[in-house]
Amino acid sequence: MTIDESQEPKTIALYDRLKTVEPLREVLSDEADEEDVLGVEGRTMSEQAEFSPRLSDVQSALKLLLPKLQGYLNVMQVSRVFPDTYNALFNLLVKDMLDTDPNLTFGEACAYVYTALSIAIDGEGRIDIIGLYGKVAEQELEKEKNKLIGA
Amino acid sequence: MTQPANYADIRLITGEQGSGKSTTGMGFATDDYHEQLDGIVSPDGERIKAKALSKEDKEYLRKAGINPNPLKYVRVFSGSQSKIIKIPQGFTVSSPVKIFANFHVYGMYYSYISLAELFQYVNTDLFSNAWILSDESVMTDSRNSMEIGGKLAAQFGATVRKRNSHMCIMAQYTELIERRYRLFHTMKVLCSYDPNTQIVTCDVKERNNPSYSFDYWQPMYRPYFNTNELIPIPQDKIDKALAKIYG
Repeated sequence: MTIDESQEPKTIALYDRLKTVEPLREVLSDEADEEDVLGVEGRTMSEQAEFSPRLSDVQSALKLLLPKLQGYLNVMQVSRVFPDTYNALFNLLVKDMLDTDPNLTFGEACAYVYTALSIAIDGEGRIDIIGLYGKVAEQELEKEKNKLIGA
Repeated sequence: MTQPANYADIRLITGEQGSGKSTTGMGFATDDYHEQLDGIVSPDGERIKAKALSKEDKEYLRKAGINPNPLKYVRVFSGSQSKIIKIPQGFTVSSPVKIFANFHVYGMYYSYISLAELFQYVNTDLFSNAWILSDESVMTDSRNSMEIGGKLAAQFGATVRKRNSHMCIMAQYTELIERRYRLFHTMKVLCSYDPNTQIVTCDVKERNNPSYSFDYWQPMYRPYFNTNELIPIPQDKIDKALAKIYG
């Protein structure tokens, strides 16, 4: 907030008379936890808001359409996978991911490959999201309109 | 924060019970209060000149392995010298930012205000350059729209820009808030809280801007307010209700 310096002394005196202060509340908090979290974030709420990316509607939709995945799966999810090759491709990709990345668990590999291929299968995943996004935006708009006119 | 001259800052903060609405409202005011702090006051009332940490100060603390929490660290001045300190226990931060709230605030100078007091000072400059925090929509309930109090509260909302004030209205649903505030609002925040990580996520829609979301660690603001505090219902409403029931 920018402070307007031209305030009347009378008003300042009134506020000074009304204002009060109470000591900070003693809150049970685990200091170790705090250091951990602040170590990652290290920011207040306003700083967090300031650093948050402002995405347009299309950018938000694209972010949903193309989640960040492991390695070449980023490419795989924008391609089109034909249903008759799905199972073979799934097995092949999971095996390959486990061979190339020893830190990856079997479950993680399956989850990543499944996500990429589900989005890619006949392009259906992406079409669903676009359809859903449009529908939701439309419904929200309608709801807001109703709220404002008191319907 | 600098906004265009026609900007009336009214923020509707919504979310289910325990979703972090009050913390978010408090967070806006607390951060602004600390960002513009001008001193710290000892328990004996002695005032020491201080400023919020600059970007360089924060970087310096980070390099020293300290989290540069602006709510905990300040730069104090004595003559031509200055240094960064952790705010000592019992000291209070002073700031030109005024805070009015219908609940109790701790560790900052503020004024506890009811609907009656809001009306009492409505024609003065008292609420200029201030954060006005209304929890549980007590001051701005949509059911009071056609009552004289509701009408005055709505008119007060229309003067927020001229007063250069910021108004945060916390309620579970936007429907609970007086209709004119829903028309005036410039920011709508939807909160959700994860009790496992203690992180509040805010989905924000600012008027004429793309929506965005951010999250923050809720315990950072716990010392500044009590989430279990009961927000009082205005006495005249209780009196009216009693009069109707018992004649």
